[in-house]
Amino acid sequence: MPTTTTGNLFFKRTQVFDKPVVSYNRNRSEYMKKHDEDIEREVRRTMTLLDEMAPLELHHQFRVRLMQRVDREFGEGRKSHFGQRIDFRLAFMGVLLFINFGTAALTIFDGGWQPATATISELLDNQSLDYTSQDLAYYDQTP
Amino acid sequence: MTSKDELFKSLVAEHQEMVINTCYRFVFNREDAEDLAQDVFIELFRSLDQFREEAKLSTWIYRIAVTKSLDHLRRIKRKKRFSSLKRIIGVTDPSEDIAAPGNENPAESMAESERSEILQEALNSLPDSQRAAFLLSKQEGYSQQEIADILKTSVSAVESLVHRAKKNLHTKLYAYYNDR
Repeated sequence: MPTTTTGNLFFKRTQVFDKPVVSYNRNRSEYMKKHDEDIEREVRRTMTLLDEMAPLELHHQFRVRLMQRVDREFGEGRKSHFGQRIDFRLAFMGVLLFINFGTAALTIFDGGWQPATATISELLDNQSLDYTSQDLAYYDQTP
Repeated sequence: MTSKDELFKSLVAEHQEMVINTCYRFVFNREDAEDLAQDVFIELFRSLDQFREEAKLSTWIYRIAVTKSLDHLRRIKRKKRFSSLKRIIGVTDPSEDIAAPGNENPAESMAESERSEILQEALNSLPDSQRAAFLLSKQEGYSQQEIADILKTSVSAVESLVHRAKKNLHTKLYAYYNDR
């Protein structure tokens, strides 16, 4: 152990400062431990709520209401006329088909309700002529 | 009365308690649990003719109960998200401000109610499979094999799901109480 004044002072100074630092750390770790224990206790109490949940007793009207609902949803439906039951999916499909056919009809038929088959065959003829024309040739056919 | 009606009534009598309590474990609310139980039996009536006996009828019924309960919770979550958006833009629902019914010990019931809400929030943050396995394991009347059949998985998978659910719940609750 150094015996110079400086060394002794240094030693004494650390001795003086050691005690509060050590006691602060000890207090802090005890505080943290208690804090953790409190949190763990709260977590355990919350998780045991499920175990403490008493089973539900059925309402005495439950089955009556259920059978009334079954009669409402299935009882009348069984007796109804086929035409009275509207399934919206079928209706939507019908609308889509109508739009498709309508569009096709507008394309095929002109304003006078004459089928445009002549127009289509002219288009096809023109198409073949176009393909053999000089404009679309890959090479120069002129001798 | 047809044979289907007779069968349906006997199934309701046999399974109504389990179905309603299964739903109750998920939604923590009596009215919602009863409504869901009704939906389960309506679905059962609708699909009874199509039941192919690949599993036990009871397994099938409880599977419907779990599915309906999870769907209900998803709907509530969407509604909450939408209502918080409404609050942001200044459109509020007056029914949300209705005070809870009075109680003899309001402080105690409020504390328990708050704890229950915290638990519900933590449960709702779990994946569906973990939540279902955990809640079914907490309910009397379900063996591990039955839970595995309901969830269409193995017993070891159920054990793993329950273990992970407990761990995740603990983590979430710990974080919540630590931040408070």
